[in-house]
Amino acid sequence: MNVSSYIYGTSFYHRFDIRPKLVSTLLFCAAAFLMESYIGFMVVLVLPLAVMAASVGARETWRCWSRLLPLFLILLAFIPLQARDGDVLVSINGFAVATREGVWMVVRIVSRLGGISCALMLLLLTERNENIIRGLRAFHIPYAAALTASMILRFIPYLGMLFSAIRDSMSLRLEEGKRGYPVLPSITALAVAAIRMIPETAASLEERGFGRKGRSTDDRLPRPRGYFLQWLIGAIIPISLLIVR
Amino acid sequence: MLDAEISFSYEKGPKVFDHFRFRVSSGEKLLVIAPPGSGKTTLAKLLTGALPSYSGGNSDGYARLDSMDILSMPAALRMERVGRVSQNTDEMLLFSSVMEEISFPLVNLGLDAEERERRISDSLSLFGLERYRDVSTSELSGGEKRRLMLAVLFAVDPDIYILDESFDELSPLWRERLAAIIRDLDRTVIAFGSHVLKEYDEAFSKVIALGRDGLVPCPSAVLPSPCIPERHGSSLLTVDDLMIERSHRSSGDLGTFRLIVPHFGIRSGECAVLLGENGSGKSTLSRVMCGLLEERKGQVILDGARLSCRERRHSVAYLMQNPYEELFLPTVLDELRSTGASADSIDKVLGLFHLDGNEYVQEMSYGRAKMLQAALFLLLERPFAIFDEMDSALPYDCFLAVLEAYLGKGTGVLVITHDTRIASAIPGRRMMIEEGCLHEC
Amino acid sequence: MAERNRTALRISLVAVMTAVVAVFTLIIRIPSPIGGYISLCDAAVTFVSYAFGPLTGLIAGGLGSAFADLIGGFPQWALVSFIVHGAEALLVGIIAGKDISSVLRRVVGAVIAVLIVSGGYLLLTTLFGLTVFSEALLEVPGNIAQSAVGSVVGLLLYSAVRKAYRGLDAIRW
Repeated sequence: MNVSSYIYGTSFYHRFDIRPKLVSTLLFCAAAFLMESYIGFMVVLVLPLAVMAASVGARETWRCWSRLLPLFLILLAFIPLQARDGDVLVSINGFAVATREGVWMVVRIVSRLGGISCALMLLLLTERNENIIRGLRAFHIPYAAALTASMILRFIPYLGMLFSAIRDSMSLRLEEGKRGYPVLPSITALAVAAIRMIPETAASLEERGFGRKGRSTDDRLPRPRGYFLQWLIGAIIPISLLIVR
Repeated sequence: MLDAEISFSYEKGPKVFDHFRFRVSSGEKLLVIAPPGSGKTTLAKLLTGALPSYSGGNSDGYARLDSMDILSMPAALRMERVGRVSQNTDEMLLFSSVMEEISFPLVNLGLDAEERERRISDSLSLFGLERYRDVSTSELSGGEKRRLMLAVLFAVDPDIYILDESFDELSPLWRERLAAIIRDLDRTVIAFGSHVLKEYDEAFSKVIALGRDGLVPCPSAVLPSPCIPERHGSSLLTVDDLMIERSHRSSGDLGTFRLIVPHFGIRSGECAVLLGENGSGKSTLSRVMCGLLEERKGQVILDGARLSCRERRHSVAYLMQNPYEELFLPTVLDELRSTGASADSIDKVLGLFHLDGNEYVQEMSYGRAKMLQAALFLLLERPFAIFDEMDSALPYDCFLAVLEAYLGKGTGVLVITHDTRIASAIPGRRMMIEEGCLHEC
Repeated sequence: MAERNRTALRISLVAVMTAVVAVFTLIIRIPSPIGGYISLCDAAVTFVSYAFGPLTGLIAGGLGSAFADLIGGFPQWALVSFIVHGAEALLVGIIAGKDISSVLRRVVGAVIAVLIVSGGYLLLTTLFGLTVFSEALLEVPGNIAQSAVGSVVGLLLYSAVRKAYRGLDAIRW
């Protein structure tokens, strides 16, 4: 199993430094909540989509979006139930199918959901997980938290692999005529294997010098060329969205 | 000079060491040979501070290195004095990328960026891992993980290197290289092993055994020449025109992995040996033969009838490299009873494999867990079995006893091994996977 | 050993248990009687609370389900999942404690888990404006089924793990 959504590339968004990228993503998500016009909704929905298509290609963009489509369709199907006492836009045999307020509400939610999902996916698609964590460290999240996050990224695929190994060997031990695998013993085995790792991992951290004083502090991210320009672009776009709405 | 006297017992467990005394002069390359469960890993962990640590247990004694007692130092401060590579590499792997894994201890040492970079590239290239800098650790094979952990230790470069079964999982090529690296190393090395490998000869200056009160001379490093009778039966398992494909590495440059097996067959009661480099596809072929992996093309046939994946699982036992992946229940007895075997045969197997029915599976050492795994599949009585590097972490006589028990029952056994001595000592044909193709040699 | 800095253990505990929750959420799915699959997210969350107490539960349960959303391709739900499953773990841990022999506590714990998960998703998704109320209502039965199954499996898992691994009680925050 793969925990990394990262797709290798050299697009402008790949080359964008992680620090302005993080802030820009955050600001964009905030902006997505505060849009007040149909044009704003459009921009929130389309902007990350366009950047995504430009940086990871149309196929990958469609893959991300196709996961959201069913949800959008369900939301749109709920239009008739929204704001039933509002201005009627469409009616069939006197039954109000859509009201102005109902459509507004649902479209706002769809744009918000789509915008936020795409912006966050875009971050995960164009940055390695390790780099996102390094970026977060630049904003002074505690060292222990960053360390924990890095370790989580190692344990998720490992435990996933371990589980398929356990399920495989369970099926090797099955009696004749039975199929599948017994769920409870398998997840118990996985939980035990995981818990066993806790003291060993803690000891391993210490054997590698965790807790020593005088850790090197020069392992920070370097500043790439055009760093300030990137900050500028990263901030201006979502902020102008916020102002225009 | 390391001068130590150590006592240790696990919580709720018996004493592992009682005033255990030993001395190692500096610069010495010491190889300690002992059977599984005798405390090799425990001793290694005690020296680096991984025990008692968070696992509990009572330790007592001293280990003086240049008149400084390392046992009384916190583990984090010992790292310049002593470091280890563990037998189970997964228990020490901390991060998701090779780069993070190797730079973490160097950052903790407080080295500057230039020195870190120098050590990282030196030790990665020493173990042939330069290409893997940005690769995710979850995509490394067992042998590659072992080399990574060795690279981490060599980058830290402590006074004493402790290598716990570090030749395990390495291909013959890397075993030879590691032996040469150890020989040329200007540090004290204490290596633990369960049996003597051919490659050990040139690397170590002294071979000893783990005795009750201390290190004792190794009784005999000579491989007993076994005489295992094969009783060929009538059942025949054949693999025909098989092609296996697997996408191998998502971020590397190795692309799709492909293995072709034109034809190979094994009779019940027969023993055959399968050799090949790390990552050549030995385990993949095993997984197809026992029905855990689907083939791209071709078939697996038992006595003329083509087997589905499900039928293969009931015909071919697969003893995986890591025994813990096949053990799930609380105690040894629970595990053996789950096979549905009679009390009589369970008793017999317990005696044969020197197992204690009441022992907790999760507290067994790696080698003993392998013995339990072997006992388990023996009771399941599958007509064929695949031993995936079972000889590592077991002494020769234990391994041979297991093999004999299987062959004696008329099971056809395919032995996968990296140990050239084992390969030539046991009976049967030899097969080799080279350049994606299996052939007899 | 009493007086040592336990940060290394805490980091390992949280990292490993977070991964357990994420893996249970992402990979382990059991077929549901009403169609589709049930993920074992809640089983893992309640298990962590029973085994390691409310605080570890809060962090590992919340983080684990958030990581699962991020990795599984639904990053927009990560924050909601963090709050809901974190709260679930915290309350179950406080109410049930380590004493799973008490039937009353077990039942109350399970009911609380079901209420928090179904109510929490309903409340938070509408509050954050990520869905319309009527659509969120539609999700409630599924969430009830999932968290109810989860609570029961979590308990079974806890007693099975305790039996198989004697060192469990020695690992403390």
